[in-house]
Amino acid sequence: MTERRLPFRTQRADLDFALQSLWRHRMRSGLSMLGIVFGVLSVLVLIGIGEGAKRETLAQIERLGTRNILVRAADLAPEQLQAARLRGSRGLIPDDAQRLRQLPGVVRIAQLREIKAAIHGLSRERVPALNAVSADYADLQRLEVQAGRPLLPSDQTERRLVCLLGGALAADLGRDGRPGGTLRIGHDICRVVGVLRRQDLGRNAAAPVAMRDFDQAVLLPLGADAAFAGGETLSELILDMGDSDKVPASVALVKRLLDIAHNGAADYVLVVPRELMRQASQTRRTFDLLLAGVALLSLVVGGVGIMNIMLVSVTERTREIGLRRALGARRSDIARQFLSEAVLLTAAGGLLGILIGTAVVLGIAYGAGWPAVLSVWTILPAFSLSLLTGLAFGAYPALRAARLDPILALRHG
Amino acid sequence: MLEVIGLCKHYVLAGREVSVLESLDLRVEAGEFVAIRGASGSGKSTLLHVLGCLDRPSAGEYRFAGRPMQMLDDDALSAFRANDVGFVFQNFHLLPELTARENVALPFLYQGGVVKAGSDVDRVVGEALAQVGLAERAEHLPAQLSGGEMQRVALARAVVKRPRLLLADEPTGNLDSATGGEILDLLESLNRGGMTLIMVTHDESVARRAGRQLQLRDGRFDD
Repeated sequence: MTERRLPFRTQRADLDFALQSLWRHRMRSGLSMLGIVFGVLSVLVLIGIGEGAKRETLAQIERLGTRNILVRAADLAPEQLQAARLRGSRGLIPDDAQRLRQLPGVVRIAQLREIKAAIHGLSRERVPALNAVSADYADLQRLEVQAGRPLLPSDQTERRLVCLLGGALAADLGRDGRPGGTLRIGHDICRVVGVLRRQDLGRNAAAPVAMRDFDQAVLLPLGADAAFAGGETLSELILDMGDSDKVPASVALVKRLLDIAHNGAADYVLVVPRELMRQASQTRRTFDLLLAGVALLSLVVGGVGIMNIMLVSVTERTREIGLRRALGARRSDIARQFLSEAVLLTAAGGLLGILIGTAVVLGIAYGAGWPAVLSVWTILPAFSLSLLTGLAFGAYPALRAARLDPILALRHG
Repeated sequence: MLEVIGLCKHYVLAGREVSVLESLDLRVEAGEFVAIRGASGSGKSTLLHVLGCLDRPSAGEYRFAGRPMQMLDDDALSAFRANDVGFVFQNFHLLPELTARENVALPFLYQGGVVKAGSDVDRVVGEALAQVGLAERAEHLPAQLSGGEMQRVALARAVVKRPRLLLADEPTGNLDSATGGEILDLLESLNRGGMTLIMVTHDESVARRAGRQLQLRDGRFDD
């Protein structure tokens, strides 16, 4: 037989004994720490994914601009559209923009019209969004022109057939996608004057409103699209209020004005990024509270499991406790021995939870393209919480072991 | 070395007070080998527990080397058990998952400050095992040892810290007479080495090995 090193000379004796004892009952130890494993796991996954989604959501709302009010044409079914027309509404039209411009506090209004027309020379799966926009639209949406020039007011007034391309679309088009290149839209030839910087928004199921993907868009000057678009209705107006604090007061005004102009037809939608931001942070508070609840609950459940198994262990080892007392162990020595075991158990559970949780979060981030957040500041509290659970729920069994009468303990069983 | 004056021990059992030891007086000098005889229920184990400070007397005085033991708190009594007393039990009380060597080393876990300077636990443990003739069985688990061997391991554990007092509670009770005799030989040789030895037994032939015999009956010594 090989000699094992005596574990008696160092401060590690408690740890060594705890490890030995847990290893001896590894099935039981493993099962009893499952609660902690799942507790830490769920906290990590909830934080990791929730935080990622939250950041993305806030970033998107931010991109819409908190000082803006968006008016979008409602996506109506044919019969709804007919009902609106019967009421005398002509939909979202340039006249609305003219009226809204009269409102106090409106700095500028950008307009966008979605166009359906074929673009030649592109593979079938690529269907870029064709948008006619007012000259200041790109600026209001903080779209950067990477190469060439932006759309100018004169493009709009002179109805020039020029366009800006989204970064991804430009890259796909190759030589034709650069400034100076040309694009066939319907029966017309459109000259590319500029390319937008890529935004790479990624997918986000949690987006509070539909986001336009400008990476795949073609932007034409409003008015130049008359050749292939037909119709006067707009898809989106963006009101720049100059200051986000002026937004709340103006929202009701905008709504009243549009209701009058549209004869009460509900054929438009107001999107107020500032309001969305407020809602998002409120949702987040609720989420945080829920998260804390889940964490607490699962750790309590896990802790009760630990306490249970420790009580069993104390009962099983009553004679051992008596013997150790006879050999000179103080009550605190006995308490420490069992507490070490409980903490070791929860620490192992916590560690396992962190490992699995990290794998799950990374897996989701990779598989679903969902942004995931893993940081020391989520892992460290999760781990310390599991240690704390061990201390809290190991305390009672440890105390019970320490308080045993040595004589009765020796005679036990 | 130790002196007991008017020692009483009562228990409350099912609402009734049961007296186990009644006003005992006892004086044991350093280096003595005392056997305490008595039938089961005579209170001899309880007396041993009180002498080893595993139990507290209900009344009376217990002085060990002049110290009034009934005044000490639990931690101080633990320190006393750790350093000044060794216990040998009838049913060995070895930890089944530890090897013989680890069992013998166990007392060093507690208040280990007594390990003499320059001495090393591994060596001291080895010497204790050699002293009881089990140097070769050091890495065996209790389940792999015979009853006599187990009691020898327990004996080595009791004396590994060189306590001044060795308390043995029916040390041969679970052994056949030949093996029991070997254990008694070991106890005797330890006593000859200067260790004070108090042994509790119901067996007259075992008690005869002691230098002094006391008979305990219903909580009192026979005169």
